[in-house]
Amino acid sequence: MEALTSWLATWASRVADMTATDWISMVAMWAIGGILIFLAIKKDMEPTLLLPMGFGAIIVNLPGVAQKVVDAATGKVTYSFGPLSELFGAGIANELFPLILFIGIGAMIDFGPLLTNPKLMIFGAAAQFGIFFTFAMSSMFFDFKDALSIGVIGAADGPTSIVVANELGSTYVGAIMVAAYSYMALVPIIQPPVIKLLTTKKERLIRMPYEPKSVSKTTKILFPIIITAVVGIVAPDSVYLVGFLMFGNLIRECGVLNSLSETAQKVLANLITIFLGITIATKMYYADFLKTETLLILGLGLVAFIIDTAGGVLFAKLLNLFMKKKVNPMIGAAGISAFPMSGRVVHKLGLEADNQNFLLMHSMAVNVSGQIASVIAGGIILSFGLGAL
Amino acid sequence: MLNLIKLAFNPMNFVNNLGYLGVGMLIIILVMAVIIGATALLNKITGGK
Repeated sequence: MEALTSWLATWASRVADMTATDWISMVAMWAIGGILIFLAIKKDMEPTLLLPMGFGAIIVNLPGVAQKVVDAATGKVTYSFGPLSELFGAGIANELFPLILFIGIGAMIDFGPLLTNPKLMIFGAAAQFGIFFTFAMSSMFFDFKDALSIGVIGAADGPTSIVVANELGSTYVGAIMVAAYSYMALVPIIQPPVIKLLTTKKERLIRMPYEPKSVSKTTKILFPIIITAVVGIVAPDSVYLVGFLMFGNLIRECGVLNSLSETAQKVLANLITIFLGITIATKMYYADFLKTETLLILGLGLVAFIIDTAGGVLFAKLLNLFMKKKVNPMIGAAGISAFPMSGRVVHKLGLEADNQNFLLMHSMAVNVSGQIASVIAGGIILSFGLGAL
Repeated sequence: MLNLIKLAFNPMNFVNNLGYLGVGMLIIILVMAVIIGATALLNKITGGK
């Protein structure tokens, strides 16, 4: 009986300050967590991240879980969530989780189709337009560094968004993460209407025969090293972003580290993904998350994805004005990264226009170039924020 | 429930930051152009057909 009274007293002291609004807000966050879990399980939308995020959002918003921490010097109030906050400090605040995840992603990517036709890389660059445009838009509402962090949602690349937002000390890391991962999951819904709006039926019918060419092993090995060197020279602050990605790819391509490559692709990537999703949820505490700014960030994230898609398609159309051998402008949309969903979306749209129009190899090549370009764009944004460019 | 604080709205910031848009896109296109050139060269040297 005494133990029960003591437990009740402790629990009551933790929730004593909570108002009716706080309770409603917590329930709203449980609903949001539930929606994320529903989307992950029922709609198969980025389940590896949305499910842990949704479950974590429920954990951190249970009454009495959050421990209020007041900074003695500044009076700033933050919330601690026990082991989840420890994990956040150990893996996200210092950017280790997203960077290590990049090793796994790099090991998963086959740059072969891109290396056979390197010109396609230019579409990856064009499709980063949304990042910079959204940054300019965000700057109307947010301060410089927050606006840069919000712009990177358009990288359609979760780890890059986490690294940039953290490095720039953005207040809105949670909302940025949720937007980045949710919209990546929604690529099959967001992209097709934008692509169809910007292309004619005739353009969607353009066929691009795939001419398989062999790529030497030397090229495959030197490619990740060259990219790291070039990006490291241009934007040294982002060398770790691209470096970890390319390190993973080098493990894959070198031919002597097959077991490491397999571990990076499966075990390592899975382990980090488990911790990443649930740890991000520490930024989904209702007091930090349920703000007008969150809704605005979600809206701006959507703008970033739409403008990225439009940028890629319109750039391809522009190139077609000068090219003898026309490209199907839809492949420009695959440059937004969001690997491999975006490449598949474009391929599917090609088949929808003509059931013999196979764009997969081209769209995947553009898609992996978007992965490279988004990391470079993240580095440029980081350099802007740190005043290095 | 929703913390409806008054958001700052400075439309001129959009115009002022368009320079970053231009510089950012220019850098990324230049970097990708260098990578394309290097890859094409690599393919040529190492005999990728």
